[in-house]
Amino acid sequence: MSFAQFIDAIAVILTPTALFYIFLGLVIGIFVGGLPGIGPSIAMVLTLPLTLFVDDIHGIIFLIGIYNGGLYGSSIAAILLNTPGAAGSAATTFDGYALSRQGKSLSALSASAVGSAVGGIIASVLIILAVPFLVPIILAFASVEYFLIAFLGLLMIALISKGNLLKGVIGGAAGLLVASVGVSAYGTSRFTLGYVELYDGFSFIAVLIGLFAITEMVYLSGEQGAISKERIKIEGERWAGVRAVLANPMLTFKSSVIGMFVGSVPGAGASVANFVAYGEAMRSSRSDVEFGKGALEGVIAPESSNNASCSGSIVPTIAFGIPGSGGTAVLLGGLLMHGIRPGPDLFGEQLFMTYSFFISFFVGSIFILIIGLTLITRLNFITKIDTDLIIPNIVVLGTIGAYSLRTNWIDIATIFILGFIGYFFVKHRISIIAFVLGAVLGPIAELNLLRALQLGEGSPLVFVSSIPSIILTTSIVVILVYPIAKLLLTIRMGEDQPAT
Amino acid sequence: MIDVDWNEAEEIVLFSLIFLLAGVAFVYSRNYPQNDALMPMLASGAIILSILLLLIRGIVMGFLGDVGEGAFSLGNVRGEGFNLGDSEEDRITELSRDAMVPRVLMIASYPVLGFLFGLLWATPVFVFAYTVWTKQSKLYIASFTAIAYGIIYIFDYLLNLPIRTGILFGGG
Repeated sequence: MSFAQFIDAIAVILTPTALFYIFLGLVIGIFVGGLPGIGPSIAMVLTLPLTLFVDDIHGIIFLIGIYNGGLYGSSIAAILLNTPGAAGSAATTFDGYALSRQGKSLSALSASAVGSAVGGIIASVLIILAVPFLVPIILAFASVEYFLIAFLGLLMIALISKGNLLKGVIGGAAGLLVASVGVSAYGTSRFTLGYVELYDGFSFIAVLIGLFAITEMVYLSGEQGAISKERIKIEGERWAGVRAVLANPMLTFKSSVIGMFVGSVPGAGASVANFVAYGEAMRSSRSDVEFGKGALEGVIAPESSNNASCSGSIVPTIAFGIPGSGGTAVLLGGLLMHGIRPGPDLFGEQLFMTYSFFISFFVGSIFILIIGLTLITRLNFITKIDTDLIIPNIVVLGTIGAYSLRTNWIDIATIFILGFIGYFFVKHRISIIAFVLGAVLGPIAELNLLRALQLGEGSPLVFVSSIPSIILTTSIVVILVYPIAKLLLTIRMGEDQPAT
Repeated sequence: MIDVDWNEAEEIVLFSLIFLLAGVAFVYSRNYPQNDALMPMLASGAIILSILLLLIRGIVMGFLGDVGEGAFSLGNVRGEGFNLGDSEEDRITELSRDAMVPRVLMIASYPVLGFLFGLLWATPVFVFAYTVWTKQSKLYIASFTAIAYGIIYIFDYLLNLPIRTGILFGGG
C-alpha cells in the first residue's frame, strides 16, 4: 500500500503544473529569503491566501517551495552582507562573510547552493525511506502524547529565546491566551466582549500575518533606504564550492542528518540546526581547517543542515499538527486552509500526499542546485533593494490577504494590532515565535489536555501512562529543572571559589 | 534635569499592561465552566508568575535571568529571524525614531482609510504617500502605486470583495 501511494505521489509531482508551482515557490523563496529581515515565513504568509486559487497539493507544494528556497536564499545575504535573511543561515555568516571579504564570495555562494541542495536531497530521501517505520509510532500517539508534544514544543521555543526563559514563557502564554478567545469546544463564549465577530476567535492566518509581516514592516520602517549601502562585487571561483562539497561527503551527510533530526524536534528547526551542525563540523574537522576565517566547510555544514531541517520540521507538523518554526506554522495554516487535517490520516489513507510533499522537497533541491549554480553571479541585486519600496507593498498584500479569507474587518484590525504589539515584543525581547506557536498550539493543547484528563479521570498519572508519554514528560521535567539545577550549581561553585 | 531611560520606561509600561491584561483574564476565566476556564487560567497564571519572577529578579536577585541567558541563548528569535549575538540589540538602537514615526503613522492610517473610504481607493493613496515621503524616484512612485492598485483590483475582481466603498459611503 505504501509503495503504491509512493508511485501515486511521483505521478502527482512529475507533472508540468506541479513542477511549475515548485519552481515558482523556490524563485519567490530565494528572492524573499535573500532580503535580510524578510525571510521565508513572511513570503509564505503573504502568499498563503493566494493558494486558495489552486488545488490542495499544488498550494502546499508551492508553500514548501518558498520555505525550501527561502532557507537557501537567506544564505545570500548571510554571505554577502553578514546579515542572514532568516534564522537558519545565522551560522553561515561566520565563514561565508569572511570568504566574501577575501574576494571569494562566488565560492561561498556555490558551496551554499550545492550544500543546500545536497542537504535537502539527503533529508527528503531519508524521510521517504523512514515513512513506513514512522507510521506505527505516529498511530501510537493519543491525546496525552499530543498534549505533551505541544507543551514540549512551546517549552523548547521559550528555552531558545534570547533574553531569558521567563520572557519566552510570557510570549508563549500570551499566544495561548489569544487562542482562547472565541467560542470554546464546549460552547462557552470566552473573552468575546459580546462581539459576534469574535465568536470564531482570531483568524489563525491574520495572527500569522500580523506577527510576521506587519511586525517586521514596522521594524523595517525605522531603517532608511537600501539594505546594502555599498556595491557588492561577486568574485572568486564558481566551482571551488562544488569541489569543496564533493571533497567533504561525510561533513555534508552528517550535517544533513543533524539538520533533519534537529528540525524534527518541535520548537527547534533550522535556527538551532545550523548552529549544531556548525559546532559539530568544528569539533570533527581536520586541524588545518580554520573555522571563522573563511573555511568553505563552515558554509557547507550550516547550509546542508538548514535545508535538511526543512524536511525534518515538516514531520511533526503533518503528523501531529505541531509546527516547530515560523515557516511550518504557516504551512500548518495552509494545510488547515485547504482542509488537509494533520494527523494519522496523512500517514494512512492520504499517505500519497505526505510522500508528494517530500518528493517536492527532493525536486526543489535539484532546482536549487540549478538556480544556485547558474544565477549566483546575478543574485547580488537582492542586496540593493530599497526597503522603503518593499514596506507599503507587503502591508497592502498582508491586509488584502487577511481580509479576503473571511471578509471580516476584525481580521484587518487583528493584523495591525498584533503587528504593533509584536513590534514591542521584539523590541523588549519577548519571543514572537513563542507567541505565534502559543496561538497555533493553544487549541490543540487545550483539547488534548482536557481529553487526557478525562481519560485519566483527573489523575496526573495519565501523563506517564505509556512509553512515549514517559519520554515526553521526562524531557519536559528536565527542561524545567535544568535552569534551576544550573543556578544552584553556579551558586555552589561560587561559594567553593577561594576569595582572592 | 532627570535623565529618563525611555527604553526601560517603555518596558515597564509594556509589562504592566501585559500583567494587567493577564490579571483581568485570570479573574474573568473563573466565571467559565471548569473545562473552559483551565487553559486561560493556566496561560494567564503563567504570565503573572513570569512577570513577578522577572520583577523579583530585577529588584532582588539579578541573577536568574543571567543564568537563563548564559545557559540557553543561541541568538534572537524574531519570527524566524534568529540573528547572531547582540545584532538585534544593535539594530534596535540603530532605529531612527524621527524616520520611523511618520512611516508608522502612514502604516497605521492605511486600514483606517480603508475602513472609511474603501481599500480599493485607500491602497494607491497609501503607497503613493509612502513612496513620496521616502523620496523615491517618480518612476518608482508611479510604478509601485500602479502595482499596488493592480494587486488590490485583482483581489476585488476575482473574489468580489466589498472593498470599493468604505463605511462612510455605506460599504464596509
